[in-house]
Amino acid sequence: MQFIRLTATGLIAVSLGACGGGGGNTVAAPQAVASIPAPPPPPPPPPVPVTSVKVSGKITYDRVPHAQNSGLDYANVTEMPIRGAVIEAVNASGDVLFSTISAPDGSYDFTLDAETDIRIRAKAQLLSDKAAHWDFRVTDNTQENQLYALQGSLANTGKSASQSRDLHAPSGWTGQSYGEARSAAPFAILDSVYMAAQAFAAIDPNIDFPALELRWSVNNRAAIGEKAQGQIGTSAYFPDADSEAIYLLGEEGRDTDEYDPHVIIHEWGHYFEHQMSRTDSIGGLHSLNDRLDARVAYSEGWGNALSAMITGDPIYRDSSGSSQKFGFSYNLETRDITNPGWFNEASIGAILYDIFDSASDGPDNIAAGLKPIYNVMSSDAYKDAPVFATIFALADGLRREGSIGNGAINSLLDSQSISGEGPNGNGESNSGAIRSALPVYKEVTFNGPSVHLCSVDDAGVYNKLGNREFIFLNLDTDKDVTISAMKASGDEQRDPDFNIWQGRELINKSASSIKGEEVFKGRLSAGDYVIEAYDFFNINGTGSKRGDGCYNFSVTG
Amino acid sequence: MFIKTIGITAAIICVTGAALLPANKASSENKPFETHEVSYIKPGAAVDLTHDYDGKTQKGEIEILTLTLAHIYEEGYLTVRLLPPPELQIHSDTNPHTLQIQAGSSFVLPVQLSSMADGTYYLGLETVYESLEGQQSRRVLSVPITVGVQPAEKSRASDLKDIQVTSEGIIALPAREIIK
Repeated sequence: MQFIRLTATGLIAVSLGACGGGGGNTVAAPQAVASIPAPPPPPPPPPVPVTSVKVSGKITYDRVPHAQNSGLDYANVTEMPIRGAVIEAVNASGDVLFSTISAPDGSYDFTLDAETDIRIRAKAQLLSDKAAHWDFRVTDNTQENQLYALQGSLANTGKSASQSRDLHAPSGWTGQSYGEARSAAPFAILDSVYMAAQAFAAIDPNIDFPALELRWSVNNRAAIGEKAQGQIGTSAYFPDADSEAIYLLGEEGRDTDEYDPHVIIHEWGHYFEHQMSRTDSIGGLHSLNDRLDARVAYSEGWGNALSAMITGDPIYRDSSGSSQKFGFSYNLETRDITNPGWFNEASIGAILYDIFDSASDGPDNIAAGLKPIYNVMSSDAYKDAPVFATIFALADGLRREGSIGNGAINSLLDSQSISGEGPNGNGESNSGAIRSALPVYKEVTFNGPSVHLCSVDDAGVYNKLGNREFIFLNLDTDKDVTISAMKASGDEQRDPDFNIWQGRELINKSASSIKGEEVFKGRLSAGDYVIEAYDFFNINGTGSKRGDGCYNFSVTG
Repeated sequence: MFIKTIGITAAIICVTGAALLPANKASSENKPFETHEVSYIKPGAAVDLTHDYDGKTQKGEIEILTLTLAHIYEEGYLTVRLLPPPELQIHSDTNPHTLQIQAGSSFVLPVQLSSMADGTYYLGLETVYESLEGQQSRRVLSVPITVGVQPAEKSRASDLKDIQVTSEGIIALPAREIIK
């Protein structure tokens, strides 16, 4: 069959049938019939040699979900995109030929030279150099903090215009154990952080997160010792400026946390407080039932609430045990809280999550999202306040921020037996059964009467309610002062100490070993101070000489 | 086979001390347990493990150590289960124990163990706390047991199933790949 199409002067189309019969192959020209012989068709153009190839694909990982009991459910693994990660094309020598960031669906593409041997590599690194900026990496503390990467095979780009290369990171689970490499784990960790970073970027498009490493290894165990040997104690955020990182457990059959997004985001929440907001928490052991130091309760409650906000799941889950098939959970929406109050992390978590979520339940009629909380926590007024970061400081900030009605905030606080007002919890009536815990802040005046304060161990030691007292001091001018704590009651072991804070700055740590008294003499500039007073043996961790002691506290000059 | 008992108290403390000041800002004297690194640990059962293991066990020796769980401040129930690795033989009771606890309780668990292979092994301890209201929380704790002579090198990436460290310092994880 020959088909001629002339389009220069008119609409002429001829089809010459070669198979006889005339059935259906001839198209009648509506206006004219060509009578001139058709010229031979032009030769097909010579094939243009392909010099570049579009290499594209999708990068995915295995997400292992939780079962109803909060253990891991390997029977229902889903394939999830690796989002926002650094994707590289690397040649045989290891040179990076091209680099990009994977899209929200895990896709990527490069244009590379044809007939070139390359491999695709997905780094366990979230990177954004747009208006919102971050650099989060998953590294191995037992391998000199080197970066994990999912690596494809070295293969030729070929001669075609396009090539598809999909990479998948398997969990490594082979039915009874992790019989193969746990390639998905670093990317599961990364994806939890991706969700958190995106949530804040949606509120603040110019947010700038300082870089952070999340250190995970299959050797990360619940033993305390050398982190380079995997002895990390448990999953935790370490804020020290020289070695800041989140360490995550990875020991199979005991406790692994790569598929526990609530745990990862909880720890990331501590990073957020330190780097983007303010925390005065002293860390340490804590549980949902404990009566905690107000700073610790607030910080841990924030971490719990943030994990629920980011995952969209108010049930906090942490898997552990043989085959990772056990675990525990708690619902941030529960109203059944032991020891509710300003000193309880479950109470704080419930309040913050109720501010965020859209479900109206009981006293919760707020659906404000994360924005007002972020507005307060990132504000200079909150960060530079003379008082510590507690639920009182946040609630006061929210009242001033104005997007939530005071009545609605008060209703939530009331539901958790919190009645104090202002950033210092003035008028709070819930002592947590520890009489010396109220008022939340005592106040001392220069050359005024001494203040009676106590350090007690009724709720435990180190970071528990009653271990430390907060005393507010205002100096109207620079002064030479003598600050003293003299024992009023308690046994011969009692050793009072105190820290002097001005905003977030620790001005002085006064911690002599003299029994029964502590004295600081020095010059303080005009301004507001908070003095954190305690008995050394109630905070030193051993509990060997713990006990109750009360002191007369004064500032003179 | 011989038996050794140890009388040294080596505290392992999860909780940490106050942040340190630069020297010129502090008027503190050295006090024990005050210089621990601050950390923010994940939620879980608030139990702390101390033990009297001295860190050395000979091959074939029966080691006797005492594990103590403390820092439990609210009433409830605590279930404790030993999780020994296959390289450690436990000669004492390995059944899980559940006991009712009062605020300030501690739980003492004597353990006898031995091993016929050099190495560092981790004796795990799974703890499940249940409040009087039925709220559960868990925490896994672990004690490193060092048997005999230790290898000079720590574990390498090559020990980890199909994982390589590249010349660029990247830990290369194997992928399932489809090229079309």
